[in-house]
Amino acid sequence: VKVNDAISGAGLIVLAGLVYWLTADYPGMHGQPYGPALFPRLIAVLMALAGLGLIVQGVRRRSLAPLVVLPDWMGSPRHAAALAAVILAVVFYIMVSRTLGFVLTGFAILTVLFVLLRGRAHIWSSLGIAAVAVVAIQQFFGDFLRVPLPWGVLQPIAW
Amino acid sequence: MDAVGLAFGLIFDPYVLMVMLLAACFGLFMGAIPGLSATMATALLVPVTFFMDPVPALAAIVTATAMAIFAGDLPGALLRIPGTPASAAYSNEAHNMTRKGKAELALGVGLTSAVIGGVFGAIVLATSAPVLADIALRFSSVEYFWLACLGLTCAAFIAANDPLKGVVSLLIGLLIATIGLDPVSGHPRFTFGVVDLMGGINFIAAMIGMFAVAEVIRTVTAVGRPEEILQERIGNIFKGWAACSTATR
Repeated sequence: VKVNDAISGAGLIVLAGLVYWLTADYPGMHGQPYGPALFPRLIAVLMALAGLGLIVQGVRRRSLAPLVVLPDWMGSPRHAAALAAVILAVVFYIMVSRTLGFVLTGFAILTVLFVLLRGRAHIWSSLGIAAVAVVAIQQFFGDFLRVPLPWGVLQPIAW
Repeated sequence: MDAVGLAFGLIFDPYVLMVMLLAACFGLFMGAIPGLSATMATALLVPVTFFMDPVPALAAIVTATAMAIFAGDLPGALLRIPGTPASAAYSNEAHNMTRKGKAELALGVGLTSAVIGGVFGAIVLATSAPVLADIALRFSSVEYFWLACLGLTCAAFIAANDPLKGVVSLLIGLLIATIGLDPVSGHPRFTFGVVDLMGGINFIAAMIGMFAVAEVIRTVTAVGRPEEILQERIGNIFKGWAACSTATR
């Protein structure tokens, strides 16, 4: 999504205000004039200034381009669904990987993404690739590199 | 000069050369996978080196690290996903060259510059380490502060076409870096009670999120036919030397 600089500038000012508000209850340090809030607040002030600069820049260039340019995929449900699937896959992994385990979650995510992106005609090869990829990643990262990938419900048969 | 001759004698031992070859393959592999960095390659090699003599052990670690740093350019140039944080700065440019069929040149430039930089650094360290150590000891917080300022201003103004947006992205990066425990007071900043955020945002995780996930999203939302990439033969990556030497003449 391409938006006019004035809109992103306003968003930046809102973010700066949010940072300032979130740091409000940070405790000061005993005997020191500054505490943990100093650096984030410095960034917030600079951000607000940069936001103002973006607004000025956007207002000056408002005739050059429309305020908001929607990307091409928004008109295509198939591409919008693919984007949603990618984001949901990450959320799904965060939510269930600890209980279901890496192997099952990863296999489910890869299968759904492959079927969605490659089409239903290739479902058997998609299932195969997903299975091989998940086992290979589990073997390489979980075993060789010692990454503590969760086993979840498969704990009894963990290798 | 005797020491240099002796050092070459130690290095050009068939066993050491074989260890270096294997370590180079290992480094190539670690560097080319996004998320596995040169530091991680070193960390994994250290336990293996306990069972080696000092010279092959050091050779293995140095070779694997140097190789991993270059190998980060491979996915950077070919997939627009940098393999190591060191390759992140120019992966967009390298990928643009690949799209024009110049992957060979992009990788050649990466390899040649990595070799020049590595050899130059090694020579400087070998010849002037005592002098450098003397300067390093005088480096205090003041010097570090100005060094950081220099780096940050460079980061902002390297975005040549719009410095203001460079400053904005610098500020967003700094804000993300403040997430986690404050190093001085130990107060958690912007963690929202999540314990995992207390250690801050890991550099590798940020890199994967910004480059790899962005590239995935760009690919799945690409409307229309996938663009044709001119596939030139990837052969001699030193072919660019000819252009380089004619340009300087």
